[in-house]
Amino acid sequence: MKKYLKMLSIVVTAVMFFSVVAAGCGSSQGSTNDTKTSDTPKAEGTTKEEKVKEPTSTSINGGKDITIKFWYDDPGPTGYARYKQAIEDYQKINPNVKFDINASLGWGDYWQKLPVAVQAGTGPDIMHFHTAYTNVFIPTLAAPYPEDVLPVDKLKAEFMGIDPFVIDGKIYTIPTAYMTGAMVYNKKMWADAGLTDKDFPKTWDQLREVAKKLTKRDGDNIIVNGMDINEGWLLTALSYQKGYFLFKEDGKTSQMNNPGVIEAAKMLQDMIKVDKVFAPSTGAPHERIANGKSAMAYAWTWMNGWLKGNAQGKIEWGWFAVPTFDGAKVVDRNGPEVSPIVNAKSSDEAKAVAFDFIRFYLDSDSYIAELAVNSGCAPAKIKLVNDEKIKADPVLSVVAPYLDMTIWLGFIHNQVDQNVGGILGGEILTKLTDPATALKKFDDEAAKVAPEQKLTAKERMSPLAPDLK
Amino acid sequence: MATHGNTLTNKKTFRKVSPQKLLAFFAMIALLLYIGVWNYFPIFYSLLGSFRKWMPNDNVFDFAGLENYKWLFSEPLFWESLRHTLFTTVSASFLTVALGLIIATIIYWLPRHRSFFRTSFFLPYITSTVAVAIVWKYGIYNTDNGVLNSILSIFGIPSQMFLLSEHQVIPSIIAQIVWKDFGYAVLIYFAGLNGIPSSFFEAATIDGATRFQIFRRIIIPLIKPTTVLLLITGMINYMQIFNQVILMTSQAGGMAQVGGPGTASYVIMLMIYQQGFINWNFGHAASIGYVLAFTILVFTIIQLRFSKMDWGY
Repeated sequence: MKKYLKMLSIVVTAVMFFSVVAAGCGSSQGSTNDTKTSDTPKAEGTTKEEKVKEPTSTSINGGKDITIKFWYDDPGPTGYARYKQAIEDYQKINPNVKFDINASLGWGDYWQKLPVAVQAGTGPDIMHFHTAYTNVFIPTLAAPYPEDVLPVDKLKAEFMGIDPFVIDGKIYTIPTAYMTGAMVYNKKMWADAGLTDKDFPKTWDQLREVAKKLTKRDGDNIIVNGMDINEGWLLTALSYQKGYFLFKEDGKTSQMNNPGVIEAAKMLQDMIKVDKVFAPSTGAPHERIANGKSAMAYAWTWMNGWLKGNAQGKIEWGWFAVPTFDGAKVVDRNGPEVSPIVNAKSSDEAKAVAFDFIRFYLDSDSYIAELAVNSGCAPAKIKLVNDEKIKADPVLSVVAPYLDMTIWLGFIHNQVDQNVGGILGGEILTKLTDPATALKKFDDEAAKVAPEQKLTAKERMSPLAPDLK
Repeated sequence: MATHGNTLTNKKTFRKVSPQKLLAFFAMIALLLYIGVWNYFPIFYSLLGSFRKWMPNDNVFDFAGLENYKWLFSEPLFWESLRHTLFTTVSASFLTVALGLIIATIIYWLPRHRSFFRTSFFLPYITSTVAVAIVWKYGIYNTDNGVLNSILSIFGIPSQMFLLSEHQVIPSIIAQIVWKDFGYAVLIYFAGLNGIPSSFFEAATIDGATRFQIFRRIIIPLIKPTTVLLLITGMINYMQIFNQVILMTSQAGGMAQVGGPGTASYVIMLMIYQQGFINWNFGHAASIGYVLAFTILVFTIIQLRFSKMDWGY
């Protein structure tokens, strides 16, 4: 018996040891010797058979084989779908080029690993980018687009909103599509509450009444939030609606502690404390919408793609326009999806191929249109603005009427970006701290990092700037 | 060449050098190189960096004197996170040790199945910290249908916010830490209890001492070295708490509300991470790291002095 127990314990120990080793190995991010693309999930809307040019004698990289490492942020359909078709087509045209693509675990994982990898010299050659990380990557870790491959004048002629992205005469990334905020709602819960399309609220007072009807309770416990109020970025939209810039003229110091935001914050806190239409709970707003925990939420239209990937078949959802305060001239911020950036530390050969791919991507109308539809965005390519298919998209048709009443904030320090969630969301909307105290804290924290901020907010460049103070 | 035992000798000039000594020498060199490169070099380089404006993304490494430390000591978030860290450390260390000693003593006095109970209590210690934190966040502390709220509802107690309450978030994290780690204390204490001569227990029993008196008058004093060891190692671990906080307070994988709600669970290691890998200010991060190391050193010295005191038994 003892002998068998001893053997069993040896076997168990060996299994545990090897499973720890196997877990520690993890999946490879690919190497420059890896010439295969990794398996990618089938992305919605990318199965169409496009006629691709026949491979020609390749001129890129002099015809020599080269592998380009490519990282993107979202494993869901909208993440890789932005680039999948373009990458496949580019490889067909340039058979000597192979893309080695990462398997991202999601937004948080991507943005924690990417800067470290790029800084350490192990990062990708080309990577999906977001303007929230401009301070980290530009200008030292990203290579500027070369004028001979991606001329500034050509980009300005073909895309909207290029000027704010010109930094010391150079371009590192450009907007490819614009998104903004809207209200997402659960259609079944809406109908169960006796509401129809005519009941879409136009003002915040109307929204409060609708939220009360949508809220479900079990005694004192809220089991379905009538309105999900956990999103710190909502307060930035309300600052614009109240007629205030988010930043002072220097473009680095915030001015969120203003009468308009204080009033808006108190309104949201009253919805929680007085109307009792929301109780903080585990998870993020998009998770609560998907789980049927919240009937309605303010969200950016990227959530449409997330819901398609995570809640399709579980819930039926729809969108309507963000309500406004009376007399609001600006409805919300907008934010661009941007073109990939190229690693400044990559080899010259890899950079040349990366820039050529970006040129290929931006030259195509279909890739930009696909990106717009998948991300719930309006395309930044001027030629596509009046595209009937895009205009008919159910999400874009909601935001299109007020997209020109939105402002692009510009570049902010990523600590400020974090504080929107931590202070505006966490302090004001979860802890229900006095708004003036929390907003002062937000401005004080922004002032601390202002000296480190290389680029500035661009909201005062907007045509809507005269309507704000 | 003549050989003598394990020693090679050469007729001409070479000293007698045993192969074992040669092997030991080269092994020591290799180890010193390894420790020097991977341990001491980063330690000294980061100490140097704590006196510099160190922004790696901008290739900045300029001398800054005590600026980083001045910034740190004037930063309210530092003092708040230090308070949270110390509270977590003291509470988790004490509870882990106390619970570990009590459970170990109970197991020690069991007539049979000691191994089974010892292993059962040790199992949480060897499970993955990440897995445990996620299970506790979504399964046990879930505000909607978590295990704890479900139990509370049976007794008519309203649902609690746990990780979303500024007052409950740190105790919730401490509870998870203690659950996971007290099994280690059980194991160490059990070994310590086996080291106490059984004649002490027999003599006490003959003299009519109760189990509680034996526990208080014999076990606690004689197990003191084990207690000191567990308190010191626990303190060093818990002063560096990070994984549990970041996993249990983050939302949807992002950093936006980590250490929340607000800054209610913000700890020192989170501040190091924030400064180092969000703000990319390595100078600030290094200064926080050294202040933390110094704090741990001070507490360790205090505990060692305390342990040498006569406890009056």
